[in-house]
Amino acid sequence: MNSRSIKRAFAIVAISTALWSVGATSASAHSGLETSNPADGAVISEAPASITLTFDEELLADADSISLNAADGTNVVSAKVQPTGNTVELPWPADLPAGDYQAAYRVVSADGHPVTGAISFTYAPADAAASAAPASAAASPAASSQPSGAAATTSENAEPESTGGNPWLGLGIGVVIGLVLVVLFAAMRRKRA
Amino acid sequence: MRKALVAPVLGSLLLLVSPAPAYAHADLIRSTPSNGSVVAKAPSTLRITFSEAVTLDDSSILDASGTVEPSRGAINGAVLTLTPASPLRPGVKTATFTVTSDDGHQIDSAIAFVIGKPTSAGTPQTVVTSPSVATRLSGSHPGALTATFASKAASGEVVWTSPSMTGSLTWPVHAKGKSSQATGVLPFAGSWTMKATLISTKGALVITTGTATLTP
Repeated sequence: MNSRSIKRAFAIVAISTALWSVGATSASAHSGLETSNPADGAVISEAPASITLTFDEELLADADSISLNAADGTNVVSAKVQPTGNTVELPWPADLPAGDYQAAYRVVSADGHPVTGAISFTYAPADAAASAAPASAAASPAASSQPSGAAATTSENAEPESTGGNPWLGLGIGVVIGLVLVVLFAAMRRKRA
Repeated sequence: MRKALVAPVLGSLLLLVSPAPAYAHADLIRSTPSNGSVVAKAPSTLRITFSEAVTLDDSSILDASGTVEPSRGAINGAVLTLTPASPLRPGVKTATFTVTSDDGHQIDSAIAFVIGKPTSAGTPQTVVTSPSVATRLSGSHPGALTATFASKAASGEVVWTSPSMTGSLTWPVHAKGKSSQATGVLPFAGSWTMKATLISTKGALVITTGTATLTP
């Protein structure tokens, strides 16, 4: 191993480190809400089995709770929930009347940091929508497909969407790129020799 | 060739070890003067304590018009000390600061307080909120104010943000009879965005947002 190949090896490590650290910066942010069902801002005509909140990190089973609130701020139901991986669920309350609702959550991310926030949605069941043109108003959750819940209401979610990226993914990519480069350089050297 | 592989592989292994995921974030836990307080005498230094060691990126002390009062910021572990270049005069003061915790997470934060007598509060106003929890703010001018929520919360927090400052001001929420209250200082005229997290004794959570406007 001559000094040139050592230099190359170091350059490769430096490159893969740099690549990896780009991914790593995203790992230090709070865990945040990634998706929800209903989506934040959605108008839904059919009640799902449960309100589902999915975060970008695993959650700790530590007094996680979801509260469903009516438009006037009164609490419809509030329950402690047991996370499954990145997800917490609140069963859809039976006989929930049509209206605007907020699902407010408090969860504890893997780093022990409590995260609170909320999504809002409108429940407009088809049978309550009378005969007036249902085509446009009902069932257009696509209009609210913004991935971050409650971006307007929670400062946590004001962070860019790249937060909470998987550091292992970045590391893995860095390692793979580094090894590929090593093999390429080695192959080139062999051809020349 | 074998040897050439050793360095990158070792390097990568080191990477595996180094980012020990201590993803805790520094929180502001207390300050002197405390956030939202009215103090009789001008403090010679402001001390802000975080939950963990931080490095200082930026700090300033602002007067009621948002003008910077020259000061020097220094960090010792988890404690930030701001020393004004000349004694602070009576009135509404704000200290804003940007710090970075060990995990590289940057936090914009702020405290506000009043030196001397609290300024005249002006007329109480209704804050329109969504979801609509009836909310009243005790005044219309910058200074020491109280927000009252027609919701029987036992705890929570109110976070205020303004285009006039970086960071946010946090007021703790406590029960007050059948309603709940939070008290603090809003230091500038103009528009303030409020995000109130109200938690009942049973743990039910409501997060309501609204806007209040203060006149000079």
